[in-house]
Amino acid sequence: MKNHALSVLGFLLLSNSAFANTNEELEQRIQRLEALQVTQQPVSAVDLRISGFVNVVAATTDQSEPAYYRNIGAVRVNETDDEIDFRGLSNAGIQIDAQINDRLSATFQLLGQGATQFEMDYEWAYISYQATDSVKLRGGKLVLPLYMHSQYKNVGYALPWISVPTEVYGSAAANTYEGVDVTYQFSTGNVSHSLNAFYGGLTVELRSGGEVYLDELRGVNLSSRLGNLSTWLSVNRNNYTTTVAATYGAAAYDLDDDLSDFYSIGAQYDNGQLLLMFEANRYEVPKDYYPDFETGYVTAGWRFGKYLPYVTWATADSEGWDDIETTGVPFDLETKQFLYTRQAKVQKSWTFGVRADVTDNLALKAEASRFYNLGEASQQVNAGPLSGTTGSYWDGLAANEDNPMVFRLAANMVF
Amino acid sequence: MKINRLVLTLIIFAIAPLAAAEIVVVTRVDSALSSLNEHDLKKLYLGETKTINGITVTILDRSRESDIYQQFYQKILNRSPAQIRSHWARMTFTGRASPPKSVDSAKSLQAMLASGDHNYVVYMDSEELSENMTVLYTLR
Repeated sequence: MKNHALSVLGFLLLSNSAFANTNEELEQRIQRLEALQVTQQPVSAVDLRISGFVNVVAATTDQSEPAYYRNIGAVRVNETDDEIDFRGLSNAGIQIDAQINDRLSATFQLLGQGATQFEMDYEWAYISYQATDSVKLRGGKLVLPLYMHSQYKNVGYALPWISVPTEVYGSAAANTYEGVDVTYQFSTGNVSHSLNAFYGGLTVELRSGGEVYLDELRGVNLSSRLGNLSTWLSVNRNNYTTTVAATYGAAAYDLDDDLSDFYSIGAQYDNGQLLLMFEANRYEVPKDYYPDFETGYVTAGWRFGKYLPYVTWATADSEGWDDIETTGVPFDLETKQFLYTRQAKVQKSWTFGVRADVTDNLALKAEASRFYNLGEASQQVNAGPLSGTTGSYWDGLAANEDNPMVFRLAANMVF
Repeated sequence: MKINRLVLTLIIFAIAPLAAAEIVVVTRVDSALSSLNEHDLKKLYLGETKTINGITVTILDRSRESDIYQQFYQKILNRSPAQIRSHWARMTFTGRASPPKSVDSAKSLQAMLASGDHNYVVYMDSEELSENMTVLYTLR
């Protein structure tokens, strides 16, 4: 193939040289042909782009019980007695973008997570159609765009932190959905926008058994940028249907076609030195035995050359305990309170960290986090097999018992 | 008089390196695109748009190792190469846009612009300019 291209090139050069009046003209012609070689030599019939990322994270805590790692972003998968965990947050992804023609492309992203023994699985798989220069349609398995950083939350290099704040991002039941979306890019004055709307569904397998089907999942989100300021707004709604087996000692129960709503706002200011970010989210389920969530974080950082020290405060709070009705419909009060405590999360944390840009594709990070206000001891069910307390993302500690520290080191690479 | 001339010469020599370091954003000479404002230039190089005034353009980048790459992004966006890489990681993994292709040599750039294939837009040192290019924007 290459030989053939070269002989054609040679032929063109020879056949044209007779008409070249000066050396300069000939040289220009050679350059033009070289440029054609650069731009038009195909690797295959479709234009493939491969990008990827690798995150290696080591985490440890001042708590002695390994199980306490769960859900704080440093999951101890095997619950061994190792002092340092290398698996919980380590992951690697590879993305292939195949440009089929000017308008049509296909994208696959394979993600392997340490927490699941690096078993590679499709995180994304979609076909994308550029309808006009500003309108793009996609269909397939897509990332659920609930939060400001949802779409690249696994790409450590694209984030200041070692991982997205658990209190905020840990409350999403799923990362991806199957469906379609449309994105419209436009400007109003000096503000550029990307408006996205999606529709689809997903199935979540509960850790405690049972499945939740979310259908008619739909949402609209808008990201805008004015100079150094970027903003994020998202409004989402879904219907969910689930049958939860009688695993808690309670009778099996059905939730059929109930609505839930999720709202998110966020902003980022980055002038190259000062970095400020915040997100605030609210999740509402109009059932008295289901908590509403409010989560958020604030991050501030300052760049000193290659170094970015930063501080983050994050919070997750649940409300609705006092609104649980005693009517016994569809369950008695204790069952309702039990369901509430299973879902509700209360937790806060401070994280201090520093990111160092070693090269333009490798960042090293170190973080120390202190978790507090874990769970809500006053929200307690005492009845037999249903007993329990409203918890936190830090499983294993009794509510409000301790203020665990977590220390993490990370290497984030992108290519 | 002689002293004045010496001073003048010294001033010229002092200014010359600054003038040579000027970065220009160019397209091919017969492109329908005739100028760019700072806002549009930022949008193009952040991957937020591919069209300017209804004209579809294809931006090109320079080698990440080159001085001009570092200077361009520092001047126009106040971002380091690592911050630009981080931005494109977000754009790529969001599926919003792919980073521009890099072309190292000025000669290849000249030839690509001359080929008239696309409305290529690229930044270069003003010393790399040739007659078949239109300057769209000058960074100072």
